[in-house]
Amino acid sequence: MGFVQASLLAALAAVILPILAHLLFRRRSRPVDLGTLRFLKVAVRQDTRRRWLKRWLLLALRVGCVVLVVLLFARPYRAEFTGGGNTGLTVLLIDRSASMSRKVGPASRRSGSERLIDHAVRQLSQVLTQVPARARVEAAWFDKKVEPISSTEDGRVSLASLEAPDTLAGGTDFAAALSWAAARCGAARGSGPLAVHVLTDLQRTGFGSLEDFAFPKDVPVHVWDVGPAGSGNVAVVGVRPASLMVRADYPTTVEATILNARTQLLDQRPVRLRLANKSKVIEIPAVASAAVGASTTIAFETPPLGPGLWQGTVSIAVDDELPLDNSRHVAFYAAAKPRVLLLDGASRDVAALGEAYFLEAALRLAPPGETVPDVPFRVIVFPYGSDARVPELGQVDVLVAANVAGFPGADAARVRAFLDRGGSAVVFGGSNVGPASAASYVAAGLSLGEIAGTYLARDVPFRIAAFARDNAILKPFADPQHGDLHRLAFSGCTRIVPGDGVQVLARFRDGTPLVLERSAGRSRVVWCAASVGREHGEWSRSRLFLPLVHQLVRGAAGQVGAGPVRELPGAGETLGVRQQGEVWEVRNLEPQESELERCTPEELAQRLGVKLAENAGELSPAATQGDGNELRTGELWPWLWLGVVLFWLAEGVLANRTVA
Amino acid sequence: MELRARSVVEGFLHGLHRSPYIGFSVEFASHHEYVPGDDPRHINWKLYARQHRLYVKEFDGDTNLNLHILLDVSGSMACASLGRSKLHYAATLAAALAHLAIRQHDAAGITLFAGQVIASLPPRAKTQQLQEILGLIANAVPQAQTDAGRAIHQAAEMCRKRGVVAVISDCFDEIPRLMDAFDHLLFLNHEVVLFQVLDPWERDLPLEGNVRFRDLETGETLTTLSESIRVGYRQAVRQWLTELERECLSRGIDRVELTTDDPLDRALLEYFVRRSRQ
Repeated sequence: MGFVQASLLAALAAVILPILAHLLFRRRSRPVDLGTLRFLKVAVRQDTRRRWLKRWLLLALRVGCVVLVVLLFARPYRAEFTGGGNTGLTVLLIDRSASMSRKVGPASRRSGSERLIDHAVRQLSQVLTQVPARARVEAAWFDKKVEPISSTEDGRVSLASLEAPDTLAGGTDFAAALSWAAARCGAARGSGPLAVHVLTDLQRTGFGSLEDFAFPKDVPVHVWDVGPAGSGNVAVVGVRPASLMVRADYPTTVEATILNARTQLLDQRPVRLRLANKSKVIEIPAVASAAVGASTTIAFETPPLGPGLWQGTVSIAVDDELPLDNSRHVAFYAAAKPRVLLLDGASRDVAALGEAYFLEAALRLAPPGETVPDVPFRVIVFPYGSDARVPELGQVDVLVAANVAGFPGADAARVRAFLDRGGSAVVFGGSNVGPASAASYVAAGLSLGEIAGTYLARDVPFRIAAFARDNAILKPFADPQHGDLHRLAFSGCTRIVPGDGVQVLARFRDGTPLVLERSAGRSRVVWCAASVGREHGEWSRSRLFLPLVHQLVRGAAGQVGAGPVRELPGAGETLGVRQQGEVWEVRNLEPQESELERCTPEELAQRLGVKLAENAGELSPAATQGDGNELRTGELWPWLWLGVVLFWLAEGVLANRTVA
Repeated sequence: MELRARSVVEGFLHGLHRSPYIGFSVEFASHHEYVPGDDPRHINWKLYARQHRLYVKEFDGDTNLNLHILLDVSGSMACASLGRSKLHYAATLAAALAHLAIRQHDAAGITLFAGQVIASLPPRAKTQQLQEILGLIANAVPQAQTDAGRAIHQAAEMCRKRGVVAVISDCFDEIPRLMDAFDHLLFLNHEVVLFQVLDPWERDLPLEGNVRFRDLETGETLTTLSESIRVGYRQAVRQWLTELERECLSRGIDRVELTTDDPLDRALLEYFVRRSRQ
């Protein structure tokens, strides 16, 4: 039960008055002398017990009168609704998007004022006056998702003690919310009147996807506007590093977009990029200026960044209604130059004749379109003949084996240990790789399946028929402008029958795998069945050789694609940078949520195609500063009034016949 | 006191003259059958014509009425709801009766009693007897306790001459004790007339609100809401008066119920008219 004027309950202290009167007025009596009291005693003896009952009944009536009068002014009403009723359904949707965390009012008073969502929850009592007394009620929070408000075991939804969430970080999606409500109404159809109430700040950007949206036309939607009349916001709506994975020890650029949605100019406001990587912190100041309603982009040029994850924020120093979007999180990974040990399984005295000549050359060159002051990989070429032993792999990131026949026991163990530590490997085929090599490759942990031996093309060269365009290693080649892998021609390859857990990234037309991959944690083993020498054609002199080799090695090193950083929408989750296993998630508020422009209930109804109820109300903080005289359904005052009258009459009748 | 008594008597007599009835002991008292030696001049020949028996008339002077007035001056007689106490009213009544008797050359005496006989004047027909009676009455003050029964027994011993005993009291004593005392008087061949004087509040309890009642004799108090016990009170009083009336009637005692708001002359007139019809 709630009270419209709960503060008046303090007047219940007045019940002390009849109690005092009951005690004090007893003593006031008029003295009269009589000749004898014997007849009085007879009469009083008959009346004693009745008088005792009447006295206490009189006190109870007087106390009851005081209590009822106080309650009459406090105006109690029934605020809870039972579940399982048979008189229809009313769905309450309460907006909990980030814009509802605004505190409205002048800057000097914002800290003490309540959020829009707190105000909406507090005004639920007014909303509930529109709900039939016996209606079943289902309520839910909504932003981009819909979260039903739990009910108790008996189906009762207690709204009297509802509290708004502390953190509001989601965008707005009216369509998602009303779709949920439509489903609930559909399930309750036939049980009685249906209605939906939406408490929201009517953010214009909150319509969501309307492609498959449908809402029943016969269900009225009450829109309760809790938003302020005017609003202004400055927000950092976008932060874009040059890449989510950049080269370590090189400077990079981070761009930030500032939106000025206020009615005044944004002039020279301080903006700051702050990045941290373990104990290293970088802060880069800037200033932002933007016209009314316009955005501006600021580019932060960082100094060379050491390897590792760099995370931080771009923030603007401004005091507005929605401080949540005054700063935005950013993270990217600075990948150190991979250290590559190239095992040449068919080295020659003349290096140009060696198996790894083209491969080494490719790894020392910059990829097409890039210019780097330094080689992209740190490459060490190691001739790996029958007498050679694999060197220490502690300072190696990627082990590249080019046409290596096999690995003796100790070397296989060393390689396996290297892979277990998180190292990666790229294996190129060749004539040295055959069925006899399989056992040592297995022992070294480099096997991706059964090695069937050299497979030569007969009439026409092998060409790549299909490749995994979504895989990070080969994704750049999905755009033919970066090179058409189908144009590569191979005169042969080492045929591999893939084992379990092995992903084939590229195949020839007859299905023979060309590129295979197996991942185990940070460790990756990538096979390219073709030789990097001349055995399997001239593909090593194709212009696609260099970028393909770079992708294979980088892919093995985990430095392709976005790297370990993922940018995800807020979606009601905690905003910021968080590690989930091997991945870092960056969650920011949806940029649309920073645009506080509002629509009208009519516009919302028209765009969503719903039937707007006529008695929708305004619940904005200014509008609800009312005198509280409006009537509410569910109020108990008629019964209280009747009680006061009956109690007062009974008190009057009894008081004349009772000693006080 | 004398003025009050005289005004009462004159009022009474004025009313009496207008009455078609003849009051007692003014002209005629009674008959007795003729016995040899009676004065033949007083034979009522009209009665002989009717009865064929000889009867001789008796006159006032023949009866030598002795009026004994017993006045209750106990504490309960101090009750005065209307500003005039029962004692004041009773004293006026006693004075009026004495005045009337002495005026008619009857002997009148008075005894004041409470718990016992306090003061007494034997009946005499002298002129200054009235003054003495009035003086005694005027100096009467309410006494604390009452024991009417015992006091009347004492008074009965003192009333040797046969006559009319007018007991003026509120009769708040126990009825059996009172009747026992009256029986004593009747045994001595007195004619007893009981003038019971009550206060209107004592009879009807017309009060409103919370009242603290005080017993004038014992000082005991009782607080109650008057309205709530009024019905029960009146019922108890009525029951008591009914019993008293019944006891008096069974003994042939005339009982006159008076309240202090009754005009005394009219009350006397109504009594004597009623009596003369008997």
